[in-house]
Amino acid sequence: MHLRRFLSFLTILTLIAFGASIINAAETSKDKKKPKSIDSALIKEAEQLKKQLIQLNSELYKFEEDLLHPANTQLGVFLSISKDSSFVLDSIEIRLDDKLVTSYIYKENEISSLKNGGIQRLYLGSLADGRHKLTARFNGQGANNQYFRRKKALPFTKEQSAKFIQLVVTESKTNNEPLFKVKAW
Amino acid sequence: MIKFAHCSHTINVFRVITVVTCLIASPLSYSMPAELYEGMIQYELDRGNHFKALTLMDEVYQDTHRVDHITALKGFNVNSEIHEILKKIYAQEKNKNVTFSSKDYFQIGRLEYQLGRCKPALRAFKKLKNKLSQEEKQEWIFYRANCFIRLGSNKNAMQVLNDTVDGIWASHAYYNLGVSYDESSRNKSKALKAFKLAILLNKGKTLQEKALKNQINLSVGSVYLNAEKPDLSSNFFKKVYLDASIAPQALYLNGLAKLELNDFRAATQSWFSVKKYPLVNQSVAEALLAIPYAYERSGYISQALEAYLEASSSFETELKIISKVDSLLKKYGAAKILIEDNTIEGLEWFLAKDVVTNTMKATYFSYFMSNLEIYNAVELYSELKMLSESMQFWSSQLNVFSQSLKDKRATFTKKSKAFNSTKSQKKIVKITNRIKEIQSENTLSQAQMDRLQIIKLASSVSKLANRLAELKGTVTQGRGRLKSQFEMNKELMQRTQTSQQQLKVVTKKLDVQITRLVRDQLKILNIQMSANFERSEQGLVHVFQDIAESNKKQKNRLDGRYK
Repeated sequence: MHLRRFLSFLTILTLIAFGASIINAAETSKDKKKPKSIDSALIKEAEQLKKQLIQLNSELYKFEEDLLHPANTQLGVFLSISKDSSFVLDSIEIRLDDKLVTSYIYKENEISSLKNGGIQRLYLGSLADGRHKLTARFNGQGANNQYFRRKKALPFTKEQSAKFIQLVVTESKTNNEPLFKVKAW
Repeated sequence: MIKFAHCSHTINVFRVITVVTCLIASPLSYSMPAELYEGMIQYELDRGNHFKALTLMDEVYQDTHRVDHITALKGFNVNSEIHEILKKIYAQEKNKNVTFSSKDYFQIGRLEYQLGRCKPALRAFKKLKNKLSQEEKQEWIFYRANCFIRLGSNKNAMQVLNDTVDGIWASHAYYNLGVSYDESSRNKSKALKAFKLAILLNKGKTLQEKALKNQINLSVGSVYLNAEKPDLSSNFFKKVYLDASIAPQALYLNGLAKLELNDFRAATQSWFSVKKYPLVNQSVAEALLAIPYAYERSGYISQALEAYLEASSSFETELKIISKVDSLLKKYGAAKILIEDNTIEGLEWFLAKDVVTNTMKATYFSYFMSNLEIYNAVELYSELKMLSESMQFWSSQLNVFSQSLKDKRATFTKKSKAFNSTKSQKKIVKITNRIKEIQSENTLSQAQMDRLQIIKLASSVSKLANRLAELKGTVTQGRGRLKSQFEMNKELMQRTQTSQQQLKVVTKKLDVQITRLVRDQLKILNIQMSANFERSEQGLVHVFQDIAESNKKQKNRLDGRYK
């Protein structure tokens, strides 16, 4: 009698274990039980609010940018990594006129996003017109696990409009060494 | 003698120009090169920061990159618009207005799959033209195979998987196929073959790979156990790691396999090791009830009685905890008790958190999260909390901006007052005239003229005159711009405050509903635990009955352990 009961439970367990994963690979831990659910009206209300807040956040970001870094004084520094680059960027330091303005330590998924065509805005600031120097220091590992610490400097002239500088990490086709390029927009 | 006192005045004029032009800059709508702007959105999308991606997307981007837009919307669980946008995408595709890349089709297929629509997903996946990367190919195979499984065609799924590559996606796909074969056929050989391929493709290095491997081993073991091959099943149950969430199931089932093999000692050992896991897991409860059963079958009656008593006591204690948790949920709500980090006096026994995952709160939290409805509701709650934090941040930022604008206004008024355009104009005219005089008087030799850079001076004064003319306009505009920034700041502040209020209301409503769901789930657990308690009590009665009904006199009947 007991054994039969155990075996019926075994079937339940098997079903639970099997059922979860077939829905989605990422949903293995979720159960199929559905006693009651959240009111659909509340879900709609929450979704509406989310949409409203996305819009508000967007306006807030633009307002902040407009206020703190108006177009005529704006300097933006961006980073991209070419898809075929085997350089694993650990961190980056950006200096403007020899003054550290930002630094960033990378996570694996961020490097992967950059290699997939993503561009990171590293720095956004305001700068007076005239001649300046931007220095970027790249720290990371190259193709043969060799540790790299490279500095790239770019003297540039800031005029009466926004200035955008893009740092590009690529790789030399001849010796697989990382190449650090600068593109001014 | 020539006076150059105007130089300092020139610098001052430029200073004013800089301050004023900073104020009158035109409003931005991410006025950067398209390549950088799109790259920024891609970066956020790719790393899963869907909220940031959505805030970056303007209307033009949303219309021109509809696939990105719906990806971000789905990622942030804003599902209401997705179907409409998908319709637009399909209309564009039909009318050949827009060319979609392979990446777009891959994304559309993935979205359709996530929305549970396999046929359109398969259609989209079929349109991929470019070569996929190794990782994308794995995903592509997984979605297609799973779609065929969902549509009831294991054969097509198998064909898709013939083109397989190794890795966790392929391993998952084979696992799901195995599950499907197991459910749809009495012949388990195909299921077992699929499971074995799933194991082969799984490297078992990352956390996900390990979790999947555990799951596959449990499933293979279960199939063998159901097929009355306990010896084989036990081999697979033993492969499940003890720190896995499914370890109690594996240990319990391993005990059952040993019981089938009449190895009561090994069965009891396996069930004993389940006792260290939380009792909310039904496998633990079953193991507690199975131990006395095994003792009874071995003839260890006294130990069976002790084990039943222990089980009863454990179930009784758990029932008390369930009742306490329920009263806490009723009093404080699920948010305070389960979701947020709180310290409520007197509730440390439940709210205590640690690096270990076997705290009381973690146990119950994991139990509730296994319910998909509760999981989704808690996810929504977390998203709203994140938005609330974002609003708090902006609220404080806007206060800072307000103060900064006040300072700017004061500086601007002061600087613009100091800047007398008529006076500056007169000075410029005066200097221009003087230069002209010098040039016409012929009192200076050419060498002296060169040394004094008269021509250069005349040119810079002329430039200054132009900039002064521009400045007059910008000073007037600057006031208006400052005013509009003040108004904008005020408006945004008001909207931020209103949103904070709305968020408070919605999160409160959501908390009430989550609490209801969680308490419902707790009721189920309570019923289950009561049933377990009754079973252990019945077990006790059953043993006593057996003793009473026994006609044979046996030595040491109550002390089997010394036999």
